[in-house]
Amino acid sequence: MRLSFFFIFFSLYVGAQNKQLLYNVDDLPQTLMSNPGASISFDKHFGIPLFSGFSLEAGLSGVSVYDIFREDRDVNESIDQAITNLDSKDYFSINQQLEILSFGWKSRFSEVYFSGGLYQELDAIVYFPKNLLSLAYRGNVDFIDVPVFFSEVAATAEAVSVYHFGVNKEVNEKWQLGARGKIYMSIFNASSTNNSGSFTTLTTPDGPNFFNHSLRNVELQGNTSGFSSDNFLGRALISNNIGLGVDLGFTHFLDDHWTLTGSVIDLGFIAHTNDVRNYRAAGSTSVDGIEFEFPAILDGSQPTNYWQELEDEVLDQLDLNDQLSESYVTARPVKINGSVQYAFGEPRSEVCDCLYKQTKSFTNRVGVQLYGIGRPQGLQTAITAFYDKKWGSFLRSKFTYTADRRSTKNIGMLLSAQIHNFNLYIAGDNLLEYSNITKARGVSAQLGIQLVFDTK
Amino acid sequence: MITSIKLVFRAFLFFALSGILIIFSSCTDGVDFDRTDEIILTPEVEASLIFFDLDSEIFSSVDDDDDELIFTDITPLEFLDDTPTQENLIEVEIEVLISHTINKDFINTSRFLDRQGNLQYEFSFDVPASEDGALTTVSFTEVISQGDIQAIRNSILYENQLQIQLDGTSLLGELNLQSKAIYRFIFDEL
Repeated sequence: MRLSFFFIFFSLYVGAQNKQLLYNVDDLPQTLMSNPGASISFDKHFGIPLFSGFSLEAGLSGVSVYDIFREDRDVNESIDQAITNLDSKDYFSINQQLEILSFGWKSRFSEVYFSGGLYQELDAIVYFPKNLLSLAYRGNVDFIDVPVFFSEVAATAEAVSVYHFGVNKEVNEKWQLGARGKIYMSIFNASSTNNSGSFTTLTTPDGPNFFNHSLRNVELQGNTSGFSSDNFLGRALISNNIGLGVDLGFTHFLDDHWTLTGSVIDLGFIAHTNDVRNYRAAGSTSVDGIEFEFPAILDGSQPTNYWQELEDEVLDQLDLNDQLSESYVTARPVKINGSVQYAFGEPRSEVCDCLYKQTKSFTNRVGVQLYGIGRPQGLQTAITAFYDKKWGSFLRSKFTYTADRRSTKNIGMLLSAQIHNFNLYIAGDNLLEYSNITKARGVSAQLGIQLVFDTK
Repeated sequence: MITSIKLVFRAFLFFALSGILIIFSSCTDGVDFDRTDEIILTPEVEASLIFFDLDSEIFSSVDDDDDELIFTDITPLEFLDDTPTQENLIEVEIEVLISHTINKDFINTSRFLDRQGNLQYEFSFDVPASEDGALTTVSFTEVISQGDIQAIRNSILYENQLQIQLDGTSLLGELNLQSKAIYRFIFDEL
């Protein structure tokens, strides 16, 4: 019961950049990238360079393309409704990964599997600053006496290449552990997070004027690196903006049928020290309007340039700077995975050809996976139910149902084929939305081709 | 070996074609991306304009022997020269609120002027004298739209004038003026 509550609570949050179809697929090397402690059924692999793994996921929560551009409604009414329905936790995100090199082998002397490689990743998320959007779209008439908070402004975009090397070890019959070290090469980065402060148009019945317009405790910041030169390819191989990270994971065999897994991916950071630009705005100020003082009448002096005085006063109270070049550190978006699964069915062969014992001898697996990713506005999560079936030694399929903030009708499918030592896989989700893709709030696809060896 | 390669090739073709089939069989029914041309933003921005207080001390410092007393001040409104005002402003609604205890009738006049000081647009309203020093409040709203909005776009200066009629008796009382404007825009070329 406690577990059920946990699952329900977890599914109320959001999911993104989820590779639920590749998680715990023990004959795919890519499963080690989402859980370095995964149970695997091969003892050597080599990816076809640039073709072994490609994944793309794009999505937006709260609204779909169809919601905006549907033919049967005025587009402005659609935008109006979308802005009304969105909240500041809704977002647009895109994630793309390309494996450049991928390899792995099992030690001759111990139950350890080594794996490594190089991949490129592009990741971006932009939250909808609902009230600021409304302010721009409708003006401030709906925001009289209502503060608009700048904490709504949160966006990150980065491209990195990642060198990685990991180990996966069967500790005993019950536990399998894994870890992967990573070196991040930042190609470019742009981020604006942890903003704060507010803008308010406040009615002032006690004067001195109709409204007081105020900026309170404003702290806005933006950082970029890697944009002033276009040598993206060079920085993909060696960058001056380097980071370190680690993946950790485990598989725990409860008995012959039940298995628990968990992992933490991209626990790391990148230090941006080169080609850096920072933007800052901070302070508090308020304006009641322009106060006339009648200097020409009172003492015969020249009229005051009130506008200039007002501008100077406001700028004096705000610290604005777009010429900074200070190093900064970004945390990688940490991903967490977990699953519980039950294996059943006839063994696919009398002789188990697996690296590890328990679940491999069964042809069917069902279970639940949890996923979470740390994002600027908090944890985004998803819950997935899956059915995984091996169709002899040639074909494997996995079907998933995933619920997250974006969708509660996300059906996904993986097909993985093994032809001698060649492995091909293709996976996609939100399949129900393909009848009209514009109604989908997210799409993802993963595919690849590689050599996978099982010498036993 | 050759058989294996053929098998792999066929499987790869199968997967690739399956993927292509799925992607191209997906529809985009019921949407029209050309409707981006129809997107119109119509924000309304409400903001304070000018304000001031005139007290009895100021009145006592001026010469009230003339037939009338004129209080005028002027300010640039630089945002009137900005692109949104020049291209997208369609209407301005100005509200002026005067609360006073002045014992004379007076006229309040607001003017929009260009950089050379040439009058582009003005509006004015009468304010009756306070009786026995009681607080008198007068609110006036001017809506400037359509043909007149170009006059606002041509302007950069805003002037407010109080024209107080004198009758030889002492000018007494205090005055507070507040004002605000609602600027209505249309952005239809995004």
